[in-house]
Order: sequence, then structure tokens, then C-alpha cells
Amino acid sequence: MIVLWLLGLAWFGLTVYAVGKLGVSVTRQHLQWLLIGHLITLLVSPFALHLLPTERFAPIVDAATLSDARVANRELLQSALRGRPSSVTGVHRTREWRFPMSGLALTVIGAVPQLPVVIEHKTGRDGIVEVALYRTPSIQDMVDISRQIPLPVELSFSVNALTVVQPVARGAHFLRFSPDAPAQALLLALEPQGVLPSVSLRGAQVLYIRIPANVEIKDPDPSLLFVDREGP
Amino acid sequence: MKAIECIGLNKVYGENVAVDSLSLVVEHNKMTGIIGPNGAGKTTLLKLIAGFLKATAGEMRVFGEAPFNNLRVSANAIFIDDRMVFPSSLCLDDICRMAARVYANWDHKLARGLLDYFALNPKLCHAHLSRGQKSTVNAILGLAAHCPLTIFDEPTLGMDVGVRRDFYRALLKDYMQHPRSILFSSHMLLEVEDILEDIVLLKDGYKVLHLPLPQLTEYAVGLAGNSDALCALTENREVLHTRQISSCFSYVVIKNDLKRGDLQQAQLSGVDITAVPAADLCVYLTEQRKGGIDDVFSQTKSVANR
Amino acid sequence: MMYLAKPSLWRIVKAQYAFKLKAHIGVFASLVAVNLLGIALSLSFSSQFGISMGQIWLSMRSISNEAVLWVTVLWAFVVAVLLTTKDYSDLDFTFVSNCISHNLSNAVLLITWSIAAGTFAALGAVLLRLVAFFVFPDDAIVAQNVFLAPLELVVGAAVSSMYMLLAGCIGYLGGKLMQAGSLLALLTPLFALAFAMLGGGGEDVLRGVQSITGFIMHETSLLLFVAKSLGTAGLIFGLAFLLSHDTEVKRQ
Repeated sequence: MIVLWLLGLAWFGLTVYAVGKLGVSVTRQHLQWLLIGHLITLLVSPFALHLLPTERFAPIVDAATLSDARVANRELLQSALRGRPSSVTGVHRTREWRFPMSGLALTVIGAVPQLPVVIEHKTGRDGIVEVALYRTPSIQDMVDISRQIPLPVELSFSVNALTVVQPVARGAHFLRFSPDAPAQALLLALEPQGVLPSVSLRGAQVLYIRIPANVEIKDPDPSLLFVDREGP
Repeated sequence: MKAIECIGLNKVYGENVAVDSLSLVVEHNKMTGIIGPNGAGKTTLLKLIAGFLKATAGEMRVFGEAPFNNLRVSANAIFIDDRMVFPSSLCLDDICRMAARVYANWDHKLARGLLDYFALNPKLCHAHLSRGQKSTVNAILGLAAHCPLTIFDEPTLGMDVGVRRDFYRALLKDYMQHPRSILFSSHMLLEVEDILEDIVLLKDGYKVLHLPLPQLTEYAVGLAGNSDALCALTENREVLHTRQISSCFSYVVIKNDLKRGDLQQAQLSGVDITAVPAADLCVYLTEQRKGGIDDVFSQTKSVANR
Repeated sequence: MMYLAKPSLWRIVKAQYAFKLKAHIGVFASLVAVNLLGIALSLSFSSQFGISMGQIWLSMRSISNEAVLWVTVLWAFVVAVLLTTKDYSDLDFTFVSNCISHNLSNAVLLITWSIAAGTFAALGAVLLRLVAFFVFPDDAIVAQNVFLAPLELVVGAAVSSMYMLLAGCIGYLGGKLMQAGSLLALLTPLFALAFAMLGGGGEDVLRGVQSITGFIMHETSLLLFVAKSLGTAGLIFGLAFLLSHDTEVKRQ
């Protein structure tokens, strides 16, 4: 930002210097072109705005989505323990891994805070460990910020050992625009537009590991959870 | 038809009386010179006529209407001086086009021709011209507008002698082809004498005289001769100007009302009677100083001697 | 003999308006500069706050186009004052003019400039969004108020234009007062206001001022808003017109 300002200042100084030094007189034609150029820029900008990449947008959620997210947040772990992590609306499977394994014992290393690890035995014996990361949306002031804070979980697999690596804490920056100031007062009357409720909902997540039926977990960590097939 | 008519016109700026109970009638289609020394109220009078200023007292009619704030008078009059305001962003061509839009009689061919003659590129910007060139452009606007009332207030300031001469010639030719009322102010009559028909002489805001130029040349006579003889001749007469030429020889200007007897007396006493050039007469009539410039020096000398 | 021209006021006003619009192109050009300045100010004075969410630090930057609007309002005021200064106001009297045509053409000029300024300010809000997108390349953009609906743009332009016109008329009145040499007349209400505020009645005065601005600013119907602003602007301009009706052209 500061760099940009300095660049702008330098450009301005150079222009003034050039005009002064070279004695370039600003004629009406120059001003006319400046005016026309700026007007075209202004007129084109509403259309140019629609060409911007949509990946950078953080969507606004509605009340229904918010309450869904709240429920999902609460029930993700329960439904995962019942073996159906994606049965709750608002839960997304964000990442998947598949690791082929040999042998009958798997070690799971690494306890990450706020990341329960749920293990399910598959019915088949295909020798493949399937891992999936489920999460519910993170919402701040009705803005879905899930995409911007993906909480990266890295898995490494070697010689029948699955290591869960602690996510690196990082920040996320958001930009929000206030409504068009002069039109605001009038348009508020036309279509009431309340202030967004200040909600802070941190998404819950679960690492769900499916292992072949004949594979056992070696030295299970007390934090590991196992699917309770007998549940209702 | 009367172009200008004013009765008891007064214009006061604070303490300063610029125009003092002035009454004047200018017939239409005359070329009138407004002559007077610096500060005589020429510009103020012209601005009153153009409707720029509001009279403090008195009545003023231009083409039968009060000129102040009057669109009809404004549309039929153009006021040319060296303080005309033009936008710095427009070229001469743009200015001419604007004039053409508002002046019904605008002669575009004449304007282009004169600009061309004086080597002024229509694409030039008024702000970039020299003082003399600006005056030339302003004068061209005044000519080409062909306004029924055209007012030139000292239009030749800064012009070269050659340009000035050309301008007077152009003014005269254009006036012949398109007769109109032209007011022309100048503090030097000598140069414009040839083109003027009438002269209004101003001094300290009041009108000294308003005469056709030929009558002005007969208005006064100059007497040169022995001081005593002149004294006898000018007794009970208004002396307009007197100058000591040598200890016993003088030059006196008086109003031209000498009777035959007076003339004989003058001849007998060896006094030469000469006509007074109009330009000189105007200077004498508007002299504010006592005596001549020589007196200042003789006085300081006598003080020093004492 | 030359016939006397019978000028039509309307034709003279039209000619003066066109002439001045063309002559004062620098005013328009300054509008571009002011527009860009407003965008730069909006970007640099964006408010920012942060929240931590567990280990994650969230920062939220708010960008408002108010700076664009207010800088342009200031521009409208200054330009109107400038219009009353000698060099600008004597321009009309170089050729055919009287006070009525002079003031009328100035009014049309102010309206034109106000509409242009209002449109520039409204579209400037869009350009601001576009520029912000590139100035903050690492920020995610909250998908709210990003795209302004055509209706929003039109209403924004109309409302901004009215602000500009009001500012312009106030500037014009102030300028004419100053030109008329009545600096006193200009300062008296301000002093009266200041004294009233010092003399304890501060809140009452403030409430009075707010009720006046609120009369226009807090209108919720576009049509009524435009009518109220136009009426007020016309009133102020009319006052300036009456004040300057007898002004002499000095041209010195």
C-alpha cells in the first residue's frame, strides 16, 4: 500500500517535472482526451467488475444456511461416530486421500487439537486406507470464510504409519465494501436491508479414516475414536 | 436618430467624481473621438455608455434605452479595450465563433482577413499573444462585430506604429462601407485626428466641448508677438494658453472671437495670428497645471538662489 | 444604415453556456483529478479491524466511497466560488450579456457540472471497487455491495448530483456575497452561530442545523428528495441572483 502511494507520488512528481522542464503546455485537446479517457474508464468499470475472478469472493450466507451450519457444527462428530459424517446438511468433504497398505497393523500418529480422528472398519479387505476431511462452514458476520481459512491438514503415509501434521496457523484478510453512501438512505427505504448480525461460528472438522476390515490400529492413541456400528 | 443621449450624468467612486454632471448627445453614424488627459473620465464615460457601470445620478440613453444591465444595448454595442477577458483555453478561432453567435452583424470574412493580414494564426491562444498582438486582436473583434455602437477605449496600446496606421485605415474603410456609431477614446488626438468627425473633450469628468473637427480648428487662434501688445489685445478675454518665448516675446492662445478691429490692432502692433492645431488646442483646454513645465525649473532655481 | 439587433435572452444564454462550457474545460479536467483523489483517499482511509478465531487471525477491511463523494462536494463548492471571481464572471461581458443572461447561463453551467460530478462520484464507487481488487491482491472480497445494481447507480448519481448542486449554489451565493464586498454579510451568520453555540445554546443550535440538513438528507422518497434539493438550491441561487443583479462590470 505504501509502495503504491510512493509510486503514485513519484509518477506525479515526474509528470510535474516533465511539464515544467519540457515546457509542454497542456492544451484543450489534452484535457479533452483526459476527460474522455476517464469517462470511458468509469463507464466500463461496472462491466469490468463482472469479469473479476470469482474465487476471491467470500459469499454471504442466509439465515437458513447459518442455522444449518450451526446444527452441522454440533452434530458432525456424532454423525461421524455413527459412520455417516456427511449425512448432516452443511457438511462438506473438503479433502480425500487414498493410501494402499500392506500388512495388518496401522499406526496413526499425531494428535491435533480440535481435530477429532474417527476410524471406521470397512467391510472389504482391499488393502486401501481411505481418509477424508469433513468440515462445517466457518462463518464470521454472515460471511462464509471457509475457503479462506482451510486449516490445512497434511497427511503423510509411510510403512503403515499415517501421520497427521498440525495445521500452520495463518491469517485471512477480507475486504468489504460499504453500500453506496448517497444511495443508501433512499434505497434502505425501498428495500429494508438490516445490518448483518455479528455471528462468529468456527467450523468443526473431522478426519475420517476408513481402514480395511482385517487391519487393526497399533497402539491406539486415547484420542482416536472408533465408529460405533451398534448405535441407533 | 440619436445614438447616445445623456443628461446630467454623474458617476462617483467613493470620494472621487469620475463623471461630473455631463450632458451629451451623439448622433447615430458618427465617428466621435473622446479626448482628454489621463483621469479625465473617458473610460468611465464609455463604460457607462456600454452599460457596464451604473450612473450615480443623471439619465443615460443608448438607442433610446438605459444601457445598464440591458441586453438589447449590449447586443448592439461592443466595448474594446486592453482589459478584455478571454479564456486561456480557447483559440482565436473559437473566440471569433462565439462573437459570431451573439453579434447579428458579425463579418466573419473580415475577421479572418484581418487576422490573416496581421499574421495572427486563428489556432493561437489569446493568452499567449504579446500585448500589442492582444490589442490587435481586440481591435479586429471590434471591427468585425459591425455593432451599431462600437466603442474603442484606447485600442492602440502596445501596437507598433505600422500596425496602428493599418488599424486606423481599416477602421476608416470599414466605417465608410458600414456606417455606424463609433466612439474612440484617446489621450492623443494627433494620431486619430484624420479619421474623426466629432470631438468630445473631457476634463476632470466634465465636458469641455463637443464640436465637429473642422469647427475645432477654428475654435481658437494663437497670437505671437510683443508681450505688452498681447496684453492689450487679450484684456477682458479668456486666455487659454500662454507661453513666454523670450523676455519680451510671448505666445498666447485665445478663443477665436476677434473682431475686425482687433485684427487691425494686432497687425499694427506686429502680432502674428496663427491657427491652433486641434491636438494642441485640446492640450491647452485640458491643462490642469499652472504655467508650463519650465516654471517648475525656474521656481526651484530661484529657491536655490535665495 | 445598420439595423438594431433584437437579441433573444434564450439565444444569448445558450451561446454563453456553450462558450463557458468549452472555455472552462479545465474545470471538468479537475473533476477527473478530484475523482481519482477521492478513490485514493477512500483506499487509504479504509477502516480495519481484526478478530482472532482460535489460532487464526481474521482481518476485515471496510472500504467506503464516502471520501469520493465528499471530495467531489468540496470540488463543487470551490468551482462555484471560482465561477463568481472576476476573471470568470467578466468573461460573459466581453461580448453580449446582462446580469440575467449571465446568471442564467451560470445556473445551467452549475447544473451541468453537478450532474457530471454526481455521475462521476457514483461511477467512482464502481471504479473504487475495481481498483481495490488490484490494490489488495491478497484479500478475499466479501460478496456484498460489490456489484451495484443499475438502479442503485442511477439513484446514487441522482442523489450525488443534488448534493453537488446544493454545494455549488451555496458556493455561488458565498462567492457573490464576497464579490459584492459584503464579507460581513457572509460572516455574520457564521459568527451568530458560533456565539449561540458558545453561549450555552449549543445543543439547540446543533439540533436546528440538523433539522435543516435532515430536511433534505433524511428524505426517503427519491422524488421528494429531488424536489426538496432543487427547491433549496433554487432558493439559494435566487438569493445570489438578487444580490448580484445590480453588480457593475469592472473589467479592471
